[in-house]
Amino acid sequence: MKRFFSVIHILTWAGAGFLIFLLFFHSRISLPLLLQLAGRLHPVGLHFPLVLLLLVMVCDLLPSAAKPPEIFLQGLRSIAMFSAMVTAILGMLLYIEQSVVGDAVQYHKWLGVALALLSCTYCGAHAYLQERIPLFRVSAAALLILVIITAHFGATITHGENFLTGPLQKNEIVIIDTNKLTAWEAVYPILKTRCGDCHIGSVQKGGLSMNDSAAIMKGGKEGKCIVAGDSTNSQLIHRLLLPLSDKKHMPEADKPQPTPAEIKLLISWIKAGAPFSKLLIQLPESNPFRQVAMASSRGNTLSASRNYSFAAADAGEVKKLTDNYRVIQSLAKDIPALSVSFFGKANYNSQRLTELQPLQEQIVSLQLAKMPVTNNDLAWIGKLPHLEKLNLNYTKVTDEGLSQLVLLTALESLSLTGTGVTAKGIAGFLQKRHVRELFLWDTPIPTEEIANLQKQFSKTVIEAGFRGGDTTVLALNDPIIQTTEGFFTGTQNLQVKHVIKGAALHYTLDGKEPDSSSAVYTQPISINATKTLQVKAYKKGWLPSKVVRKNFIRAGFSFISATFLQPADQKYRENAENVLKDFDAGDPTDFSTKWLGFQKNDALVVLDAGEVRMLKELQVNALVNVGAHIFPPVFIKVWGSIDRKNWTLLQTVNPAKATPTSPSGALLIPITFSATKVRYVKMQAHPVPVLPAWHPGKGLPAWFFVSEVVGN
Amino acid sequence: MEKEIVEHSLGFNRRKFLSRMSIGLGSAALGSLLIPDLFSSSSPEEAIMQGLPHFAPKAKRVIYLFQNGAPSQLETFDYKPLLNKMVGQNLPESIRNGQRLTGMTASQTTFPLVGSYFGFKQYGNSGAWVSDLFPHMSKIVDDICIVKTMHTEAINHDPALTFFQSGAQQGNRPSIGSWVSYGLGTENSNLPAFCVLLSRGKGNGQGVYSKLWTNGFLDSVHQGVQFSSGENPILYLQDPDGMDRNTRRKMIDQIAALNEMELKNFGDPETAAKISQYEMAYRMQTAVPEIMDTSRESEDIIKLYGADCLVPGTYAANCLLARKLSESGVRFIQLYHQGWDQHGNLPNEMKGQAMDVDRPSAALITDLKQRGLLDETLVIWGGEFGRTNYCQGKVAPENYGRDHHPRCFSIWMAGGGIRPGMVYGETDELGYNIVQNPVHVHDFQATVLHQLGLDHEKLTYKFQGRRYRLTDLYGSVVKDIIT
Repeated sequence: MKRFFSVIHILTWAGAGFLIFLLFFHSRISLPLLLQLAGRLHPVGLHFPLVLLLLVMVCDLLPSAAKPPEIFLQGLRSIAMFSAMVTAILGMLLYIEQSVVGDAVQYHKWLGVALALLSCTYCGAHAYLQERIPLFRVSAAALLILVIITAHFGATITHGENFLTGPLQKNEIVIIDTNKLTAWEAVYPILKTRCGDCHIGSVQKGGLSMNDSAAIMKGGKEGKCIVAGDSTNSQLIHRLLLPLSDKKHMPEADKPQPTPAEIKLLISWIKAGAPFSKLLIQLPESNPFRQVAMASSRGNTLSASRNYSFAAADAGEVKKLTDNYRVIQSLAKDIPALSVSFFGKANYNSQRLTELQPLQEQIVSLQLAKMPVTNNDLAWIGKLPHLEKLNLNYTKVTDEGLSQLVLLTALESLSLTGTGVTAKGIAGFLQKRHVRELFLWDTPIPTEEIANLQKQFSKTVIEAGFRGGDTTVLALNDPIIQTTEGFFTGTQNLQVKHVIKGAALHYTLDGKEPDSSSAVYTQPISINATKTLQVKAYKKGWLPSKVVRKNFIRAGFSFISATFLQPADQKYRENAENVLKDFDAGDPTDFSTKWLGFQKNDALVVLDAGEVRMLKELQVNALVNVGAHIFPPVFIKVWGSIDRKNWTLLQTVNPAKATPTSPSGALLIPITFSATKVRYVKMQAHPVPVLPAWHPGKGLPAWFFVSEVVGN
Repeated sequence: MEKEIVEHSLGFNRRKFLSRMSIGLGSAALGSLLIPDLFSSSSPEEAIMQGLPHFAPKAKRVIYLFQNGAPSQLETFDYKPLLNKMVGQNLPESIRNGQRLTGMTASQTTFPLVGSYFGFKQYGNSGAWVSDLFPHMSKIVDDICIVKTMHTEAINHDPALTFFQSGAQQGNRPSIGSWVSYGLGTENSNLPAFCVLLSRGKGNGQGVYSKLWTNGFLDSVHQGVQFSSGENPILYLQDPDGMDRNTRRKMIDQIAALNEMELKNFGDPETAAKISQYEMAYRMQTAVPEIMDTSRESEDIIKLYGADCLVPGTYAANCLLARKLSESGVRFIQLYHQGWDQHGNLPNEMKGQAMDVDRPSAALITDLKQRGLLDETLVIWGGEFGRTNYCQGKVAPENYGRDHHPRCFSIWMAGGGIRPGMVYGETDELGYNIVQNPVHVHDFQATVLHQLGLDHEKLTYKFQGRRYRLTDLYGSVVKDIIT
C-alpha cells in the first residue's frame, strides 16, 4: 500500500514539472493528435479533483474526534492531488488546442495551475502542517476557496456568463425607437443571444470577441469574422449556413440556433457594408437591411409597450368602478394606462362619468359612443390630463362642448361622427388644439367644407366618410310578397312589403308588367278569382327593382280524399293521401316534401269530391326541372263517375313538351271539359318514358311531379 | 351507483382527491426550492384569467369575413397573365413536384393550365392587382394588406376550415374566437364575446357546423354564439307574451339560487358558467334589440352596404350587423359566406359570389374607418385554401373549374395595426408555389393574436396533462405586415 502511495506521489510531482513546462512553452509546441484528444477529457476529469479536494478539506477541518481513520485520509489525499494534477494538465492541453481567448480563460488557466501545485504541496506537506493547527486550518480554508473560484471561472467558459444568476434576471422589454436605432444596435441583440455565451464578455473562444465593433471586425483565429459587403466570405455567415452536422457550424449544434429571420437580418447587414454607428433611417429606404431591421424592431416596439410616467390606479378602485355598463380595462399587463367604455344608453348619466374622478390620471381612452353625453359632461372630460383617444360618436355634443376639450394636451384621436358640430366649431377647436385624427362623418358639415378644413389643418387627418347616399344610384332589391303562393277558396288577402322604407310598390293583377303608373300598394289586396300578382318597387334616388310575381289560384273546391291505384315512388310519397288536397302548391326548389313523384309507373289516382258536383275544370299543379329529370307528363286523362263504377272519359290533354331551355318551376296544367255531374274523378298522368336525345341523361325515364289537384 | 351517491354526499371523488393531493405535494416541493420568482408570479393560466393582454394591443376586436369553400386566388388578387398565354398547356411536373391532389383531379391524365377569364387592373397607391370581379374592394386597396402567400396543410374543406379556426385539422380544439375570448375576456359583458353569422351564396357550397366555433376544452362561456339568419337572430331572447321584465328577473334569481346549491354540492365549473350565462341573457334582452334594429339606418349606410343589408341572413346584412356588434364591444365576430367551391362553372358562379360580397366587404372597411374604429378593429377576408392553376376537367371557351390548392392563396387583412396599402409575398409565374415570404396558417394565427396583445406562445390552456396553444408548436408573427 505504501508503495502504491509513493508511486502516486512521484507521478504527481513529475506531472507538476510537465505542467510548468506547458505553461511557459505552450506557444512554441504543437500537440500530437493523441494529446489533443486527451485535452477534451478535461471537462469530464475536472469533477474528480473538485469532489475529492472538497472532501479532503472538509475532513481536515473536522474536529479530530470525528475524523475518519488516517489510512483512509492518506489515500484520499493522494488520489485527490493526483487527479488535480491530471486535470490541470488536461486543461492546459485543451487550452493549447482550442486557443480560447478571454479574461475568464486566463483566470481559469492561472488559478487552475496554482490550484494543482498548491494541492500537491498541501498533501505532500501534510505531516508538517498537521503539527501546526492554526496554519493547517487557514491553508485548508484557503484551498477550499481557491477550488470554488477556479471552478466558477471554468463554468463561466462552458455555460456563459451569468449562468448561475440566470433565473434571477428578468427579461426586460426594451423600448426601441426605430428613428434613433443604429445599425449595430439592430444587430447586436442577435449576436448577444446567439453567440454571446462564447464570444461576448470575458470569453473569446477561437480568439473571437463580439464585444464591440472593433473586436468583431478584428475577427478570430480562423480569419475575418466579417467582410463588409461580402456575406459569403464572412466567417459569421459562412459558419451559420453550414449544415448543423458540420463540425464548424456555429452556434454549436447543441446550442439554440438563430431563426431564419435573424439570419436574414445578419446577411442583409453585412451586404449593406456592415455599418455600425449609422442610424437605420440614414440608409436609403430601399436598402434591404433597413427594411428587415425596421420590421423586426417594429415587432419589438409593439410587444413592448408605451412608457407612461404616471402611477397605476388603485386596483380596488378600478374594480369598484367597473360594472356591466362601465367597463374599465388596463391597456396591458404592467401598464398603468386605462381605457374606459360605456355601454347601454339607459344606464348612462353624468354622475357615472364624474365617478371616475379617482382614475383621471390613468384614463387614456374614453369610449362614449351613443351615450346621451351633453356639453356639460365635456367639462369633466376636458380635464383628463392623459386622454389620448376620445369617441363621442352619436352623442349630443355641439361646438360649445368642443371648446371645453382644448386643454386636452395628450389628445390624438377625436371621433365626432353623427354629432351636431359645425365647420366653424371645428376650426375654432383645431386652432387651439392639434389632434392627429378627427372623424366628422354624418355631421351637418358639408363635404366641401370638410375639404376646406383639411386644407387649413393639413397636419390633422380629417375623415369625411362615405357621403354618397344621394349620388349613388343602386337598384332596389326585390319586393317581398308575403302571402304564400298557391290555391285558395273564396277570397284571399295579398300582402306585400319592402325592406327599404319609402319604396313605392306598384302592382298589377291583370298579367301586365307593372310600371310607375300602376297602382301603388297601400293595404292588403283582396282577390276572389285566380290572379297573378306582379310587384315592382320604385324610389327616388334608386333604380326600380325587378318584377316579383306569384300566382294565386282560386279553387272551386278541393277533394276530400285521394286513393292511389298506382303508388308514387317510395322516395317521394310522404303524406301522399293529403298532399293533393292541402292547398299548398309546394316549393318548386324543394320537391322532397309537398310533392309526389312518379317515374316507374303512371300516376293513377281516384279523387273523391265528397258529393255530386258540377265539374267543368281540373287544375293540376305539376313541376318542371329539366336538369333534375322532371318533365311534364306525356298525357293526362280524366274520367268522371257518380258511383265509382261507371267511368266516363272527360278529357285527354298533352302538355307542351319540355325543351332544353324550359324554365324550372311550377307548371299549372288546366284541364277543361263540358260541365259534367260527378262525385269521383279518376286521373291518369303518364311520365315521359325516355329522356330525349338532347338531354344528358338520354335513355333514362323522366319524372312526373304533382303537388295539387283542385276542381272548378 | 352506490359509489356516486357516496361521492355526492362527500362532495368529493377519487379524481378530485388525487388532483388536490398533487397540488399539495407540488407546492411543498416548490417551497423547498425557495426561488422567490416562483412565488411572486402566478401560473400562465391564472395570468391569462386576469383578462390582461400580454402587451398593449393594436386591435381590440376582430371581424373575420370567412369566404367558405375557398375562393380562387387567381380570380381575386393573384394576377398571373402567363396562365392566359398558356391556356390548355399541361402543368409541368417540375412545378407540381409530386404535390398530392384531391380525389377529384388525381385521376386526370393531363392538367391543362387556365388563366383568369376576368381582367385585372392595378389600383391605389400600392398598385395592387385586383380582378374586375371586385370593383368596390379595388377602391379600398390602400386600406388593406393583401397577403398572396398564405399556405396550409389540409387539402379538403373540413380539415382546412378546422385548421384555420382551431389550429388543428382534427377538431375538438377551441376556435380562434374562443381563444380570444379566453385570453381577453369580454369587452361588453351584456353581449357574447364571440358571435357567429352565416350566409350563403348561390355558388357550389360547403357546409359549416358548430364545431368550427366550439370552445373545445375551454370554459363553455367562450363558445361562439350562432345568430340565426331569420328576422330574429337570437332565438328565445324575447319574453313570451304575458311575461314582464320583473317576472323574468324573479325566474332568473330563483334558478340562480338552485344552481348555486348545485355548485356548492359538486363544484362543477359548468354550473357556474350556466349561472353567468343566464345573467348575460337577461342583459342581452335589452342590449340586443338596440343593435339589431336596422330601421334607423341612414340612406348613406344603406347605399354603402347595398340594399340587401336590410334583408336578414344576407352577407350584406351580416356585414352591417358585424359592424354594429363590433362597435358595441363584441370581441370576435365570425362571418361565413358559403358557396365558393368552384370545381366547375367557375366564371358564372364566381360572378355571383363576388356580387354578394364585394360591396359589403368594402363597405365594412369604409364604415369602420369613418367612425374612427378601423385602427382598433382587425378585419380579415379569405378562405380556407386556394385553387389550382389547372382546370378540373376540360377547359371550355366559357367554362372552367379549379380544384383545391393548399400551396398558395390570397387573403387580406385591414385595420388593427396591419400595414395598410401593402401586398405581401410573391408566388411563381404560374401561381402554383410560393417564391417569397410564405405565411403559414399558424403564422397568420400568431399574427392575429399578436395584434390583440396576446403572445401566441403564452396563451395556453392545460388539458389532459399538456398545455395547448392555438398555434400548437409552431407559428411566428409576420412582423413585415405590422405597422
